[in-house]
Amino acid sequence: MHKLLEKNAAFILFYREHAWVAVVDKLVHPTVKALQVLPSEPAKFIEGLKALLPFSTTNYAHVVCGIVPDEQFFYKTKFDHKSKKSASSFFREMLKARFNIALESNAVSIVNAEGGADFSEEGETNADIVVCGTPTKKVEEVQQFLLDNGLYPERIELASLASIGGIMDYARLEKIENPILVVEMLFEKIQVFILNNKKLDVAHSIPKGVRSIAAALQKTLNLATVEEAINALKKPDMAANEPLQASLMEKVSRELKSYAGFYEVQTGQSIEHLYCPLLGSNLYWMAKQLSRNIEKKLLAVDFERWSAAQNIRLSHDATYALDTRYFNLFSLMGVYRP
Amino acid sequence: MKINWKTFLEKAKPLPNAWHSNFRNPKTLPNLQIEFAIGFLKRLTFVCCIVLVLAVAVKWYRIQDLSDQIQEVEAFIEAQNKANFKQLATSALFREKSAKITTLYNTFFPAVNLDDFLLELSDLQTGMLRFHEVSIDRRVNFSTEVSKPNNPRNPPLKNKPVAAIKVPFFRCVLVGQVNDIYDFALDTLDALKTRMRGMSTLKGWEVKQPQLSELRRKDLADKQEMIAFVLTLEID
Repeated sequence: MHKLLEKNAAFILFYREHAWVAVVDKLVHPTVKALQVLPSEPAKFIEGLKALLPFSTTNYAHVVCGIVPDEQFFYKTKFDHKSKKSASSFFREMLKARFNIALESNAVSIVNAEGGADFSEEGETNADIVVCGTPTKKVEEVQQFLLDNGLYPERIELASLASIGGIMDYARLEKIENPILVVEMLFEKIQVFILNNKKLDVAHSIPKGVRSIAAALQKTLNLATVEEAINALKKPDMAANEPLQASLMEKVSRELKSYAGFYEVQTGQSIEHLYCPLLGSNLYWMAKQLSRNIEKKLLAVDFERWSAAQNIRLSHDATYALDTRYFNLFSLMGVYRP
Repeated sequence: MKINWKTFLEKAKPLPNAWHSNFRNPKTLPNLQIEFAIGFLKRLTFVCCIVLVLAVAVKWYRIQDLSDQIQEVEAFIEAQNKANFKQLATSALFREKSAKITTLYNTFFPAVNLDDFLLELSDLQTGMLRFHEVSIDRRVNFSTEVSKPNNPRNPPLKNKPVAAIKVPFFRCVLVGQVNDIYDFALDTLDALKTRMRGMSTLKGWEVKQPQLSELRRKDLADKQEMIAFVLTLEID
């Protein structure tokens, strides 16, 4: 009886072919009851999730969903509003003129670069802000998919934004004062953030994603298609072949190194840690290789410490081995004070 | 009390969250309050329907029960009616027969009216004369020579009955006492005999001289005597 009365909710992180799922009792300060990585292919995902928690179109399960679309964008800029125009029309024009973003077709959020609170123009005349978003279509697809299957989205977030919050929170907890370089290896691009204490200092994207690395591999190995190359990237022998890794990651590493160097020179602070979320175990060698190439330590998250501080409990019946790769999912659960 | 759902829900979700921008589209989200209310109403309707059906079923059952009872009672009444008609018929028959019998009786055996006779007899008592017991023997002796009376509806009471019919036998035995001196008592009894013969209820009948059959004397205090007697009166 008490099992039936127990509330069920879930945090879901969709990223390409994987859906990372944490079944919890509630969405704030949750107790994690089950943790699993499901295939993101709709039918298999729903089937897998139904085995973990009950839900139907007449009885919704409440979820917080993180998505990482390749089309997502992060721009750091300044809110410099001195004209007499209203703030909304100012943003509309600024986004169109500077970043070529139309508000009609994009879901956009503006947060303070420091603290990450939703930006409100009241009293702010000169503030660092982060403009982030994704095409509306992407969000609506996910929302419709969730609703059609009996999952009520309490929030649909950009997982990268939550990840920034999570890493900042962890850095504060561990008293890491040096800037942290966050590199998200997406398929079409690489999203780069540099976090400095409570502030997002750099948000940038390099148009060289996993696909370009795969293309390089395709050239090297004379493979027929990019898909074959992607599969080759995930093979275990790839993880062992360090010289090949180094050559594949070279271009990316060089670019990242120049970003990091530029930042270090500009701010006079040296970046100590590198954090690479979203890489599955079969691609995690990329993170390791990057860490070697740009000579930064990979950030290893002490889950026990962080989850205790965040009031996130791990139920003892759930069996899983937590490592840093789960941190992106858990950063959706965290509560971050601005 | 009016609940402001908006503020209520906002209070229920205390997420001061930084770095958690929500990109969902509220326009295409279902309203959970409405969904809940609809679900609740559906369940309520279902329960109401069940209750209604049950109520109707109970009513129907009761009506069935009542109509069964009505049928039973009707059958009973019908059966009773039949019996009653039978009884009525019997009763009518009885009345008819008894009238005939009375007529016949009156025709063949005209008699002294006992009620009047006894009333008159009791009036004969005086302070000293008391009756204890009256026994009346009234009989008819049938005769083979019986023949039809002239008019059975109106029998000739005054006259002697038709010769062929035996006169009905009427005997009254009177037991009583006279509290007086013996000689006076005898006089009283003589007077009683005379008065009995002249009783109006016995008019038209030939009354024989009453016979004293027994006399007993008993002395009482103050020189008083009690004379017990048995007097027999017969009609011929």
